Amino acid sequence: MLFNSYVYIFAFLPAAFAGYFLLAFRYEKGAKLWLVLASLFFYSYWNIRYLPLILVSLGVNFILGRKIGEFTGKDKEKARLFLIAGLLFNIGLLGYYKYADFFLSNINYLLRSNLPLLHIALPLAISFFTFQQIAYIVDAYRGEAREYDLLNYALFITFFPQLIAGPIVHHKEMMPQFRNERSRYINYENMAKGLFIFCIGLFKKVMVADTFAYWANWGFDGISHLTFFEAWITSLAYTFQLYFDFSGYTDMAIGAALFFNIKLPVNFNSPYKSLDIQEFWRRWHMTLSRFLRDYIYIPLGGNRRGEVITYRNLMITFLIGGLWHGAGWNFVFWGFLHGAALIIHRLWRKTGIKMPSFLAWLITFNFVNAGWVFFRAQTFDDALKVLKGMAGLNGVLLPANLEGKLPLLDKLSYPYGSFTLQNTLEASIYITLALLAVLLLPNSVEMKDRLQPKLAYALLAGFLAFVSILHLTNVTQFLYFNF
Amino acid sequence: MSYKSWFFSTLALVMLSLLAVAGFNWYIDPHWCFGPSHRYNQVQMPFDERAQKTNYVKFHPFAYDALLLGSSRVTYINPYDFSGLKVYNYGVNNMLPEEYYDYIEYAKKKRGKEFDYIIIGLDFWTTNQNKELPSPIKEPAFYIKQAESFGYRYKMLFSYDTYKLSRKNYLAAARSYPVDYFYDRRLVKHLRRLSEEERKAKIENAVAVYRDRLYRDYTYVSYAETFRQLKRANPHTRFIVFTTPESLPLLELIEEQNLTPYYQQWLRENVEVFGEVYHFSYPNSVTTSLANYYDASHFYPHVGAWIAERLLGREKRGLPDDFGVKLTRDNIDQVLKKQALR
Repeated sequence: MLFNSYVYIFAFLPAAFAGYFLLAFRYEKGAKLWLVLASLFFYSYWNIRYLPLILVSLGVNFILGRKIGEFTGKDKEKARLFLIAGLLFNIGLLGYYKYADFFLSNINYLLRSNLPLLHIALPLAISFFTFQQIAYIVDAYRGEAREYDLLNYALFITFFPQLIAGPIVHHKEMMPQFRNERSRYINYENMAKGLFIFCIGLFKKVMVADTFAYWANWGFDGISHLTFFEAWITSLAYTFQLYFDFSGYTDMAIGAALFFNIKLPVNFNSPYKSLDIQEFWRRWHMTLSRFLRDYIYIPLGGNRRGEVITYRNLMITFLIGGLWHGAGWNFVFWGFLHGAALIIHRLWRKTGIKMPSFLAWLITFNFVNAGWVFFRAQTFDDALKVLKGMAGLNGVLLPANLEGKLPLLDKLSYPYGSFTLQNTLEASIYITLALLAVLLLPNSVEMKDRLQPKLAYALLAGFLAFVSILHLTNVTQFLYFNF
Repeated sequence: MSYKSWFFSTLALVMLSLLAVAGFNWYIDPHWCFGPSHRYNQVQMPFDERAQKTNYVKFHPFAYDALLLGSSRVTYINPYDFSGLKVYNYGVNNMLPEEYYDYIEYAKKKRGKEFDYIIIGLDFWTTNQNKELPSPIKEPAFYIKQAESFGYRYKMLFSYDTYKLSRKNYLAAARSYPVDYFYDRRLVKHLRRLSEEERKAKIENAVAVYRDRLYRDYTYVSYAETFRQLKRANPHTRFIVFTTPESLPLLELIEEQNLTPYYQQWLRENVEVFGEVYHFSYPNSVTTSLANYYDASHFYPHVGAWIAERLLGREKRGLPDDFGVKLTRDNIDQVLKKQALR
């Protein structure tokens, strides 16, 4: 089920909320069971085929987590064995469902063999719930997480606001909230803040991201030859589409969770304001960065084993991060670019030279923007098509409808031509507005925290929700659902 | 204001604004999902006839004896002109024979049994494999799935797109904004009368479209098997099949493009499959008088009434004698020979 759908907004969410609080103050277990069942219904609504998969994954990880917990502190070796079994199970599951065809096609290419591809449809949210459970069993091994109750564990994994696309949460930050006595009663401050950020998220997704999708999809998939301005509009449209889409989704997740008095971690903190690439990764998809840092980078040795090993660790972490986003070399390459950028950033820092803030921002933003081209493009050729256009290799034409309106350029006989990408003036205005918004406005979490129960905020939230709901006619999928 | 009042005020604000829009959309009902019929919703723009007519099948009582199928030409036939029969006009813009089966099956399912009659208006342009249609046609399954999807008609009430359609329909009805063609709430389609000049321009334009797009790289495609399948799936239904009357400029274009042999092959195949075909599309007093036409291919509803009379054998005064001939296996050679001599 999508957050930006009528059925979610008008039926599922109110029903899940009402059922939970009707049960919660008397029957804690009943309320949790209700929430788990509601979450499984939410998961299966799109395609029930993968319900058994999430149940098996959940069951196996619960058992392994218990076993690890039992042996931690008593028999380290056995705990370690169960941990390895758990890691193999989770990586194997993800490998089979997400990466099998990628590896087979690469083997076929390298060995010139003809192994048949499996054509497995990617189960919804598998990357998210698998990473969350890897974190859980590792935390159990470290003695930081214990869960002996299947219902609690099921709730931790399936809680619908964060099930499909994160944030990737830790057991230790979720379960105390569910256990808290006060969570079982309606809290109107949380409800108000939840509603407010939900409205902002809905608007970001429906009105902003889906508007940019028009130019991004057209430029990436519909045009074979992009001139300079068309290519920049295409790449920037996607840069803003991705941010407003994913952060909008997260806002809605945070809002829905707040209705149940659950505070999900912040996942986006104005990432496009970043002045360097390290800061970007502290602000973008923060719960994934946290996972990569705590469960890959630090176990690899982090920055404790000298400069070269640190660079190696950074690169490995980001290659895995790239691959997590999708089974394709373009994602690996995107990860490589970010790994390389982080290494360069560390080297630069060692020089002690301070770059002017604007220049630092400009370089960071443009690097991220160019990186997203590989992230979005279906093939390397598609990515190169956009990058070539951005570099001006396909000409720097201005749209023909501006001819005669720019006297200075006319005097210079500046070339005009017809654009394949349409409504480019509109796109340029939206891109400018989006850029100003991400740079100058507080982000939605900050806005939520500043909420005052005043009429002006009610009018703002009401307007955002009203406009967005009226534009839900064409229900679209969230970009991150495929990851 | 407390957080509690803020929460409920915001919710109320959103819900009331949405209900106002939804109420207006329900009142005008541009998707044909509900029942209201009044002076302010008597102009219904056909923005997507496949969706609208499928919605109508889904959301209204469906006690019809007969189904009428065909392209936009057929949509101008008033279903109430088939006196004695309750006909549902399921004709839609650019309808292709390969779509008939699914729409018939869907309507049959809603009716609960086979139809007594299925009336089909055939267009020659559909036989070109390389025809270039103005927009890609979505499969019937898309519209059927859409109409059947959970809460579809209520979702559409809370939609800005629906509001825009409602507003357009409302303004056209309440303020009599001029509209070229529209449906009323009885699903009768109306067509604006054109001036001589307007018609001339439209005919010229239509002939060019047929020449450049619909008859482009003409390659004949036979629909015989498609029609046989329809007959097999509806063994207790009587099929009444007719050729939609094209105006003289279009008939001349067929000849000009050297398509006459295919035109005749098409007629023969249809006669072969259905046993008899009511043929209207040849030079006769209706097709040669351009006053009967909105453009080169779309006839005015009064011509549709004549077609209905001829098909049911209930000819009234005013029906031109030379309009329509029943083609059978026995007479087709003779009729085609006679028409070729004209």
